[in-house]
Amino acid sequence: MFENLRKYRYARIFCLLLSAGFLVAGYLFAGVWQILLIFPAALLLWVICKFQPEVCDPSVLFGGYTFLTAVGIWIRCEPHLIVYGFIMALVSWELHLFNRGLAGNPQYTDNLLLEKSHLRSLSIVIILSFLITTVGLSFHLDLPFGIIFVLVLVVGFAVERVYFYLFRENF
Amino acid sequence: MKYKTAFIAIIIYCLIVFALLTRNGGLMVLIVPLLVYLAVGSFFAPTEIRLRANRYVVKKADESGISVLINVTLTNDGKPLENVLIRDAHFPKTELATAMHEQRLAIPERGEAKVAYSFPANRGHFFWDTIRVSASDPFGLVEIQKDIQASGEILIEPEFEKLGHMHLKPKNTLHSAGLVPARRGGSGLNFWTVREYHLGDSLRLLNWKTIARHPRQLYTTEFEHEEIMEIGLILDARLQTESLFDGELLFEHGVRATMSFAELFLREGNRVGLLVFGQDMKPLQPDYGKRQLHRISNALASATPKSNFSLMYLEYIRKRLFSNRALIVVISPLDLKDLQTYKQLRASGHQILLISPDPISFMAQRAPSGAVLDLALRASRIERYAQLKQLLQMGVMVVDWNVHRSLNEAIRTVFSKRTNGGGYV
Repeated sequence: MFENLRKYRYARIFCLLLSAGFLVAGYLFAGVWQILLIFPAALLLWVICKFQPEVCDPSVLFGGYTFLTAVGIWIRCEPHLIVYGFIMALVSWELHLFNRGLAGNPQYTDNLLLEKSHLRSLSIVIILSFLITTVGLSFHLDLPFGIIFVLVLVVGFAVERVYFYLFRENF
Repeated sequence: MKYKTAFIAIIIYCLIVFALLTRNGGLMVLIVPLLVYLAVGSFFAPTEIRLRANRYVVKKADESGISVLINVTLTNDGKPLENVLIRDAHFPKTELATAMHEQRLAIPERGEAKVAYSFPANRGHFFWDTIRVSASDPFGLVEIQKDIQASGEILIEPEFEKLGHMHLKPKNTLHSAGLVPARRGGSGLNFWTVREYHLGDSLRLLNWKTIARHPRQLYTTEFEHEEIMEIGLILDARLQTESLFDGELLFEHGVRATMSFAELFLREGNRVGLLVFGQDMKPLQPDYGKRQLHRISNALASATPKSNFSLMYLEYIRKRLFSNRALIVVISPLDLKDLQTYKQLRASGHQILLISPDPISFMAQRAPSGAVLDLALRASRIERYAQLKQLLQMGVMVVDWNVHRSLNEAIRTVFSKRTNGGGYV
């Protein structure tokens, strides 16, 4: 059980480092050296998390990472690196939550099916995300704002309908 | 589970708004991994749960005490479920000992999954009806829930101490052979009186010493008749008289004492009734035998202290439950306001025996020592002794029981043959 959990932990840390590396590289390519402050900030956060673990909720950290990513794209940093970093951060967040959900679960040893299905789904997410974002970033369409707005409304409505269908018990 | 979906949704909408505000299409690319994540999750989401459950509940006793082991076997009759969270109802009072009542696992098609956990339980009536199963996709984004029928029940009867015979001398008895002296002549073992010989008396009972002193007269020895009695056990389950210290309730000792008395009185053939006096009144009509002991055991297993203000209401319940001939045995730590009720009970002709688990010695045993605490304990003891003295003056038989000592020892001191019943230690 502990061996499996350790593997998950290493995978999560690897993804986390990869995402931080992509983000820093993306910013540095755009000449924003201030991003290097992220390392002392991460160190400080690590120290805080040691003493107050409730502050370091993975969702909060992922939210912060998303903010940095959005700002990076807005200030025209290297989009490929930023987006790839974002994908790795998403994977790291998911692995962290999965790991936390299984910690202390005595049935875990008999549960390779759960682990396998999770890894399979995660691999699909990584591959599809890399493919679609790479293809998406290679297209440059200049559309008027009105059309973009309408398209966004359509996408938003579609997403909302899908949510309603899937999670109607929650609404 | 659900918060993950909500969190992703919030991020998506924030990115859309940010992209619109900055008119930056590149930001929309960030939504793609999130949408893929949601899509993959919903693609692998289960559509139905077809599980059967079997529950086995076993009681296990070892050196550390009694614990309840629960095994639930789930059989999947439908499609494979990749991410299943099983939650079983557990009892808030109990501290889970091993494993968990909530487990995450995967169940293949026609496969089985076993969930096992245990918790310590000294006494109680535990029952389960269903087990809640939540199945979701591997990421836990889309979840469906179902309560699967998995009934189980177990009764952990309270422990009791086997008590020795108590030399009680009640004023009233029931006219059926037993072990309690009936205060009248008849068949028995203890000497009662010597009377003139009546035709039909057994010659074995002739009192030769008296005959020798009175020539031409015959005398017969008469023994004290022994009968059974009616006993009303009243367990004080009021929260305000309870003491909780270091996770241990004084009430538990009260329950043990009540069970011990019930076992003793019923073993000796008496008629015993029970009233658990708390917020929920649980009266049990007086009856005889092992079945009655089982009923009492059941009632005590699920008894819990709850708030009720005074023993005042006892007067109304007593009239319906116990006859005036009954000996009332009250197991209560004693509250200042209760003295009036004891007075009323005495006035209505009841004999009362108060078994009072001592809350002061219960607390003092584990409390850290100190000059102030010693003074406080001394003051409390004086107050308690004054109350008990008042009860003695009313004619209530009192046993002040230090719960760290054996109950048998406490009652033996009070009801030994030498003290002839009705004392106080």
